Amino acid sequence: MSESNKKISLISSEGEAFEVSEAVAREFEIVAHMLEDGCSGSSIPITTVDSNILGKVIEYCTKHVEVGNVEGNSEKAEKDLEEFDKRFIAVEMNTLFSLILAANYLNVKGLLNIGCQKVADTIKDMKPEEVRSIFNIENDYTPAEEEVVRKENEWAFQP
Amino acid sequence: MDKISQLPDELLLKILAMLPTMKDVVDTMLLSKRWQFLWMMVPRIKYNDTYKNPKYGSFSLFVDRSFFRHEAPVIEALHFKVGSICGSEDIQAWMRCADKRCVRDLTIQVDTFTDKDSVLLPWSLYSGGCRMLVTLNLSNAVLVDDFTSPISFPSLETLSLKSMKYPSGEFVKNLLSNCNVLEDLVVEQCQADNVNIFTVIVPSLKSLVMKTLDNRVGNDTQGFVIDAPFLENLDIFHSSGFCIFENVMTKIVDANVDVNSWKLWKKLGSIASFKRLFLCVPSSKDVYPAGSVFTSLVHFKICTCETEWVNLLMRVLRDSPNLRSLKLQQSHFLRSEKPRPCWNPSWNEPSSVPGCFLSSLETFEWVHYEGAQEEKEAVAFVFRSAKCLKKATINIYSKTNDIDKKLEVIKELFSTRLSPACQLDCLSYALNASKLPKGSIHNYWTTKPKASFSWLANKILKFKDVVYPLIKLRLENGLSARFWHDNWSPLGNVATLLNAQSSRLGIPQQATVASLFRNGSWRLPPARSEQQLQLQAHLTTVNLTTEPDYFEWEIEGRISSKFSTGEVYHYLRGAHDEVNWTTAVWTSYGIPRHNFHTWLVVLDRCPTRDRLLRWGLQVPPVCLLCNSFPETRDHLYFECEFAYDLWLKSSRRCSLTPSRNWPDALNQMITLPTSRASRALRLLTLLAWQSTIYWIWNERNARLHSNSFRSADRLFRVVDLQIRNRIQSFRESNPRLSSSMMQTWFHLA
Repeated sequence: MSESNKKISLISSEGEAFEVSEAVAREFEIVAHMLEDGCSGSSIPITTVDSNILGKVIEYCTKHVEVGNVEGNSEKAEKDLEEFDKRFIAVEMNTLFSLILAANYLNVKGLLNIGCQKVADTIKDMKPEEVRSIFNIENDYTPAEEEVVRKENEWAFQP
Repeated sequence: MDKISQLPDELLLKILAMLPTMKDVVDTMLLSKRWQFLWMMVPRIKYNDTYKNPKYGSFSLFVDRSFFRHEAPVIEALHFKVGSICGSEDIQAWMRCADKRCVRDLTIQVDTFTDKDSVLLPWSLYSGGCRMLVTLNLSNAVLVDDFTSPISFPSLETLSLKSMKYPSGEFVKNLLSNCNVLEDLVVEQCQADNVNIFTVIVPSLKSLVMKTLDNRVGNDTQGFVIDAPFLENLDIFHSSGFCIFENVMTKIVDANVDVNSWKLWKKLGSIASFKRLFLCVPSSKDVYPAGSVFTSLVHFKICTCETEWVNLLMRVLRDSPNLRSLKLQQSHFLRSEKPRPCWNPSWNEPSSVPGCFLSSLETFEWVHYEGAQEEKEAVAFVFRSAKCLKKATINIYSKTNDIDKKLEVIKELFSTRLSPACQLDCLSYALNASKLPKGSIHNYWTTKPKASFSWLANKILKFKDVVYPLIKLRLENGLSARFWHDNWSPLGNVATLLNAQSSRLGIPQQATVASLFRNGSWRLPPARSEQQLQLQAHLTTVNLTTEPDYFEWEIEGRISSKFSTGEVYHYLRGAHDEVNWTTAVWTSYGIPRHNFHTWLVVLDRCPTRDRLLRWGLQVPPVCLLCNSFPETRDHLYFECEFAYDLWLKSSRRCSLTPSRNWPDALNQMITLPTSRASRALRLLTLLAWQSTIYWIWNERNARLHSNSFRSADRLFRVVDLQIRNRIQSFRESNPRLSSSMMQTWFHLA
């Protein structure tokens, strides 16, 4: 177990260093691959992610590593973890998308999944106008163009 | 561009794939051009013919068209949930279309709640695309053999067959033997499935769940044969028939065995490999051969519904030297009315204590403990002899909601000797829920929040310090008043007053006030501090009567025998000075929505763009109405040309000289003459002012979100109409005011 006690610094785009244990850093698959490829340096620059988001991603991974290490009583632990995920991902939209991009770049599968799921849950059951206003999507169809799309795909919009 | 549209296609497709059905996915094409063709590449397709209740024609057209236009080369998952409006023909046609699309995960789930004909799935449907199939889930359909050559599933790893009907038992045997890499199999057998003997011969199988549904009435000619030498997880829920294992399975780690009869049950395998085991079987005798030892068993769970459960438990315990956790749970209704075996007294001998009790057993859990004789003996036995026990959890169940009886059961549990290192949790949810509302409030002051209580109960407990000074106990006979904790003395909580943490003066924690009054005098130790002296001085003025004690609410000196939410709310919230604009915002005969909105505007709490910018959002700063100045509250009301234009129109009708400056305009409204004669004019002015404020904000939002623009003239017509409607609406109840306001409004039109 001595290996997992090793500390690794992750450096955000602003140059701030986050010191984490190797087990946590390995949750970032991109880092895990670097370690396997023999990048033995103790600090790894993560230039595309800012401190705020990197801190959050590390919080997520730390929690998941902690819970993963505890044996037994798995049902309760899983429930707690689910609860944690739910609270963790309840952030405002800009942060959510930054988290998704960071998770995608760092290849943290679990976080990417809950992030995308959160967006999907927001979209479902909404009318296109509502989705546009929630995500600030600019409608670049002219009314005439929109009419054409609706007309061509009439099958999709029947009750 | 907005953040979501900037995500790479790969991520957007991932999000689309998580939407519940294809309908939601297709709808996104309307969002913007970025999304127009994205839906065609979504890797997972889910159709549900009950979702949003489509009509038959439109649903099948929808599936046809969307499936036809879908372009992704590989479909990772294709799910059909049909049955309520689609039948065999549709699903067969769609399956033929799917043939060439390399589907990896196929699910066909038929809804059987409707009385439609069953959905037939001819076997030949799987001939084309099944080479790539990794997961196949079928439920509630009828497989039909159309005598094509046997179809093989070279990649199939997971198969689930729930409530399916088959051509024959031979067919099932053939089907499974053509799955060469199958690892996971779930079978739920239903009534009349045409299979008497379900044969599973799959050498690659690692996990198997065999379940017979309760509605299936079986007999001894029915059952299943299993030959899967590398099985690791085995779950059997089987209410009748036989089960045969062709080969010894040496790798089973996790086994759940829930069977009604134990006939022909052989070769459960080398039980030495089991790590987790759940048993619910009728007899302890033939479960496993005598002399076997569960050398690896760590977690053991047993169901207490069978009459013989105690015997089986003792046998397994003795044969499991390394057991760490033991769980007892009644998962079924009691199987029969037969008398349950009593505890065998010889088990209490030290020689019959199982080895695992002395060396390894750490956790013990009992769900649904009722306190029957053999249960009590079993608990006492575990508590007495398990030397390494660290945690015991007993979940008490009682048929009646009798709290006293439950308390009795808990008391008994605690009186059993337990090693001091062990933590005992007694859970009884029914008890906790009813304890506070129904039980004595005297306990409320001393109960501490606990993780095992319900969330609500803990919430209530956390508020006790706030509530304490409000609930006074009036002494009459003093029999119910707890000396230390009830709020009976004018000096407040006696425990705090006399610092009960350090000394209780020899008075017990639960002592009542009456118990300190004997033979006409107060039995209290001599006072040694100022506070004690005060209390004793107060007690000399107390005369106990024969009436029972009673409670009263006392909120800031007002006494009431009833609880009033309003009073408590005001007490907790605290009083604030009235603001000078109250009368301008909260008007009578106003429109509630406008009142509320005006309130937000006065407090400057609307998300105007200057505020959005301050929150760090990336929005353009200019006003949406005039496009020339930054948007702020003061600009909108009414420095903005457009807004002022509207305000000019409505204020003119109330004979008011409008002000463009917000503080002045507000001040104008506050200082409108309040005399009786000018009441109609005042109410009308406020109504017009608030409507104008509301509709300006409405127009600003319409321009922002739906790109619709109205001129000040058109907007004024809306304001005008709404004001007239509002005035009309109280014509019945206040005709004089209504007509006076209406006249004023029309006067200058």
